[in-house]
Amino acid sequence: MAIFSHAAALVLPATLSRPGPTSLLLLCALWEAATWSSWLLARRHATGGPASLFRASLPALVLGRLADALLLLSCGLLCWSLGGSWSTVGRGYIPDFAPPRDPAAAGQPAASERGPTLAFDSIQAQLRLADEDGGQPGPVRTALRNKLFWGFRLDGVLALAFALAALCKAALGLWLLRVGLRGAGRWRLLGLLPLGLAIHVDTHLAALWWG
Amino acid sequence: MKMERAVPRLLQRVAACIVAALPLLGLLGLLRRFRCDVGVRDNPHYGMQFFVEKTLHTGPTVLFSAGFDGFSLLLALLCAGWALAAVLGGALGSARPKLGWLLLLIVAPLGALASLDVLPLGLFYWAWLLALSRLLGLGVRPVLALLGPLLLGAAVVAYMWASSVPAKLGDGTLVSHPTGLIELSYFNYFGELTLWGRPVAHLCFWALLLAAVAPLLTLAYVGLRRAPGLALLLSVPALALGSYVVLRLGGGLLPDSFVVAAPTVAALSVAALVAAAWGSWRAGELAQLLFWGLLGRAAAIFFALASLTQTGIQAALVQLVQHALGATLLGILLSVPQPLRGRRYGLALRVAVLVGLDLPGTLGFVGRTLGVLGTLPGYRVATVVALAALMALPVAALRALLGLGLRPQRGRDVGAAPLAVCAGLTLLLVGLGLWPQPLFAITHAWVNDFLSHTSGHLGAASFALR
Repeated sequence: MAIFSHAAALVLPATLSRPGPTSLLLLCALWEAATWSSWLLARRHATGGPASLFRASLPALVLGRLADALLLLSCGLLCWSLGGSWSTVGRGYIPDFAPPRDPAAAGQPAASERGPTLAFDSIQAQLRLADEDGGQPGPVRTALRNKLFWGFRLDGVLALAFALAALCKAALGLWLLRVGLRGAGRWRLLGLLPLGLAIHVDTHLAALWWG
Repeated sequence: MKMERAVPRLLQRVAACIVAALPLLGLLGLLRRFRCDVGVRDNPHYGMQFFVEKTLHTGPTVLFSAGFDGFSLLLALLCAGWALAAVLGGALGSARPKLGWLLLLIVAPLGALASLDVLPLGLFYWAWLLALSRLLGLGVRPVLALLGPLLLGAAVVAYMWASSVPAKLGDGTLVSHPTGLIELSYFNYFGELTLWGRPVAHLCFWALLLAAVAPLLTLAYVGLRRAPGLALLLSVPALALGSYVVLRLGGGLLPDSFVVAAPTVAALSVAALVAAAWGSWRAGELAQLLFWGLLGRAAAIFFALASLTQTGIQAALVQLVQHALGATLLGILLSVPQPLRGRRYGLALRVAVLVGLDLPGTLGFVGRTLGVLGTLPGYRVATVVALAALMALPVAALRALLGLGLRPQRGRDVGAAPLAVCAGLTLLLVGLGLWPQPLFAITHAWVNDFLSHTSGHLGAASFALR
């Protein structure tokens, strides 16, 4: 699992940085794989029976699962907010536009190609759509700014949710580092893995958001 | 001891009564149709004589569908594969059923899935419930055994009477002619019919939901007290048939009622999920853990179904397949004659436990993730709570499992046949987890059809995750 952790750390930046279709689901899967591998690492430093082993490694699971849950929620929220909004008068989710009927639309992403998606490049294309006047924030970005989620601005909620997810993952990394420093030294550097994941995702999404 | 049998027996009887009454409900729909569609009674294509003639000419295709759609095909494959794996793995042998009951248990779900008509659907589902009761040692009362045929016979007689009454309505326009005896589509004609101030369609939907959930509760209750492996194994066709009844009858034929009931179903499912997570954390033995695990899995599936979005329903179907593969795997290992403690048994049991943790790269991870994404548009608070419970459930299960100790010990080991079946199921779980497209390909068209049927009520349903 330790080898898998390293492989995940190497694969994740490469997959998210390369052009082409990459799903946010892959990001969630890799984050969760890192959580389970961190838990296995944390168990190596504990002693005693299965119950005490579990207790000793429980913080790794709690922090990791919390980060994974927040990331999954953030991804879901981003996905659905691209194509609609939640009514403030209790009418549920209201789509912004009808689903695309003509898939043969070519060229730059048009309005018909906008909508809920988990594909990273499609999200990128939608968020970078320019306004007709040019220079101003695009229609999708403006829409996100104007939408509300539980009374709060949706782009703020999204930024906060992603940041909280990254913070929890970073806390997992710091906890692993601390455990590693107290225990066997050769595993301590692996605590950098969740930290790296958190920083990478945060910077990548921040660049997407404000870039 | 009395309570141990009384609760599951009551649940089974209630479910059997509801299922046996299905044809009468269909008949009620038919009578409503006579009132709704002008001139239908004048249609010479109604009546027992026409039905018999048509049956003689076309064979059983009047009552059974000539081909499965994506949903039925998936469930039929699940049930057939489950039966094959359970028989090859030698799991059902531990219950020592008589061959007739065993065959009924295996064939009845397939018959129900292939039914085009209310009569065979009700008959097969009712027969399956009886076989289940028999296998679980709950006993089958003669009254209950006769109830099904009696009600079905009454429905046929009433149909003959209804279709022989001369019509007085309309201009004699032929609207359509039936393809079966009491078609499933007659449920559409409940309209504004009310009973005790409530729409009959809504009451019918809740009755169907109860009939769908009751066998699962029975299995969970029996599994908690004795035979956890057998209960887990039998939960596969129970969940498949339950989902079929809810989606095909409840969602397909009573869409208005499904939409109205969906928030309540979602709330109940989330409550069950939270209870399952809490119960798993507190579980002190394997039977309790399996009980809460089964409840949690069923709750996750019904929560995803209640989302009424394309992603949510696809996720429910993925979770259904995951449950079928995982439960069969674990059920086979727990149902083999005890005591087995060998190295291969320990390894297989560990793998079975691991696939239940929804690890990335397995089908459980795909189903859970898509489920959360599918329910988010409709239920924000419920999704957050459900996600918390879903994340806590494997942690709680792991805690309990570590306390059980699954280390290989010396002892009689598992045979080659069950081990081969388990290896195949594990490969399927991981393979479909890495590449779930074949599952989506089978069910995609059906889910779209289903949602287009109810799209008048649903804003987000037609949106697909690209």
